[in-house]
Amino acid sequence: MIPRHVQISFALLLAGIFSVGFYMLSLKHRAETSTWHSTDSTLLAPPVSAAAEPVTLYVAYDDLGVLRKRTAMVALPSETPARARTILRTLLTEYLQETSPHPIGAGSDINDVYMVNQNLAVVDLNSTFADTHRSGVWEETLTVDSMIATLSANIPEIKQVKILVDGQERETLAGHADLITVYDASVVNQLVQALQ
Amino acid sequence: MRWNKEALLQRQFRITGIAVAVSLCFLVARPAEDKQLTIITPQSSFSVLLQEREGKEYIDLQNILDQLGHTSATIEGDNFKLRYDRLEAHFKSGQTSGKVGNASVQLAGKFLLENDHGLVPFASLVELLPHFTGGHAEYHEISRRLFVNGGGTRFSAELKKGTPSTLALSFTASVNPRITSEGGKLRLSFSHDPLATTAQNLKYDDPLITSLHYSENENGGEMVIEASEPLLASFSDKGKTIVLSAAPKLATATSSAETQTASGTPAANSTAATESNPNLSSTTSSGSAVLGEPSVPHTRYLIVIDPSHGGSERGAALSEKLAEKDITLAIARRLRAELNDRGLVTFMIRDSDSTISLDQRAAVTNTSRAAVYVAIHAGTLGHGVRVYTSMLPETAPAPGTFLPWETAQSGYVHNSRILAYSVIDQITKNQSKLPVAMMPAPVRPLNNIAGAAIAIEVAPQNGDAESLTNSNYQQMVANSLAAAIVSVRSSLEQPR
Repeated sequence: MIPRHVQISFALLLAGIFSVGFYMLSLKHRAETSTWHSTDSTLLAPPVSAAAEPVTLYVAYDDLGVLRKRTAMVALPSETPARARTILRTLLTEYLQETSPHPIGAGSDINDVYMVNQNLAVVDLNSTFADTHRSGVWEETLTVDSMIATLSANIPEIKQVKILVDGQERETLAGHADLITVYDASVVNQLVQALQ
Repeated sequence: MRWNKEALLQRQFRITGIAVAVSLCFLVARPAEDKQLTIITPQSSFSVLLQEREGKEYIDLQNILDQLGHTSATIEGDNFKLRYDRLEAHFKSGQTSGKVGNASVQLAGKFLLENDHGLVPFASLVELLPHFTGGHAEYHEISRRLFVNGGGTRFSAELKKGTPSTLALSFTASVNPRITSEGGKLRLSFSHDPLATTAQNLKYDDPLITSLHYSENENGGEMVIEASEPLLASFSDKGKTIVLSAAPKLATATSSAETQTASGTPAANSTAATESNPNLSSTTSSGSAVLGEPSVPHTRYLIVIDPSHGGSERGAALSEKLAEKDITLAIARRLRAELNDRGLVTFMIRDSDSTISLDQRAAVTNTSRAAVYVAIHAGTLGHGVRVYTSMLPETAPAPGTFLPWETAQSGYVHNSRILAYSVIDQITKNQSKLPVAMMPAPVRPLNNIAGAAIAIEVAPQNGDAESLTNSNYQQMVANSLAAAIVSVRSSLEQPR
């Protein structure tokens, strides 16, 4: 016959084990939820410390094969490189949405934009951007053209654009669009006019 | 008076003569060349001047040690005290011995003190320097290079036997040699790369690559690889590896008329030869330069057909099972047949599932001096056929042999557009309802092609990606392309 006080102690221990188990499960669930939120591909909103101003975006539409001009109100930093990055990230936000007219891979982002000699912008894409981009002449051309046209429309002093991936030169975006070349913004703009 | 005039003329003539002679002397007499020594350490390389004193070559010791660490010098009368990091060295002007730390050193000549600088005989430097740096020094007399503490690039060569064999050259650091070829002899000149090897001779029992000879010269080092055929050099691993393989040969398929005129061989035999060697025009490499002339005589109107992608590079995923590389090859084969039927000479960049870099595609096209380059792509976006030309601005064809690689297409943009318009016309004639478009686009490697160059992207006929496999559709595209290439022949054909 097991003494009564041992039975009570055993029951209390069992209850304690179960309650700790439930607590652990709830912690695990909470951790999973927070991880899911942190990998959400939607880019963070631009900084709001500055006053919002109109930004021209050239948004690609795959089904029509055109670039459409759109205006968005965005708070822009004062320095040109940061400004350029914010503008491009606003464009990417359009492409990262579920109903995007020109979808790009989740997690695509602009690492940075550097200005060289005031006229040459070096856009550094993250590797996810290039690695997950759909392969095809037309798909890649629309992406490159829309980025360059958007930059040029908002920062007219940008005359040339060079695209890097994770700080390195890469032959093509996804097998077709040339990333070795330095793009002449005026040539791209002429093409974009024809594509509207 | 007359005598005076003649005397004056004679005098002026003499003065002019002397002036011309003096000028010629100045022009002919070249200044004595400053001798330099290049010092290569694992961290850096730098050059120092050698100075001639008392018939011997001398060198400023402190000048060298300054590049390797922290130095300071004190001069008291004839005594020269040099501190290098924590080490102290003592020399006396006019003496042939000195002390570095606790070690006594013998010099090959007198120690000289000049303008607060201590000069040591150059012949003693190889023995003297390790006393300071703690490592070892190796002097290469021919190239006047001193390798300190294991500095410099080393290489190894490995022949991988096969059909054909390849020779892999592995370097311990990135190299950028100047490459020239004469027939089967490939010369790599390492004037900017500090190769630490003095000489190496390797013989290979191989039908393609027979020997490798490396030797030093006054400009650096030179490697000569002898082979029975022209070789192709492919760079990889950020310039640390060079793979030498047989340069691709042009697989020709000609019409009976052209074949008989060119070589007297019946057309049927020629075509059969091409079909029986499906891998003849394919190589595997990345980041390359094509060397050596292709083994087929140049023709004035050679068409290069590039079935884009291939091998590990699948291109766009057109459907779950359908890869772009397969569709491009199918259309390219049809185009080749159509062009051959029309009596044109063609070359396929690949006729099998092989990986070929974009640079290699352009290099083969340029070395074959093609009049037309057609890259074939396939995509799922939209319908119909899109024809792309380079985005480079149109310029007049550049005179001379050399063109900048990145803008080689500039002088040919006009011809490329003529060809693109013709393709659009022909497709519209064949299938008026099929959407067609023409535009400049940044498609690699159009910018690198020195000739009329277009890329076509074949999209589904009706929205279904499977329609890309439709033989009638592929045939219509091939037929239109071939008709367009024939129709612009008179505009594009020119002596090259």
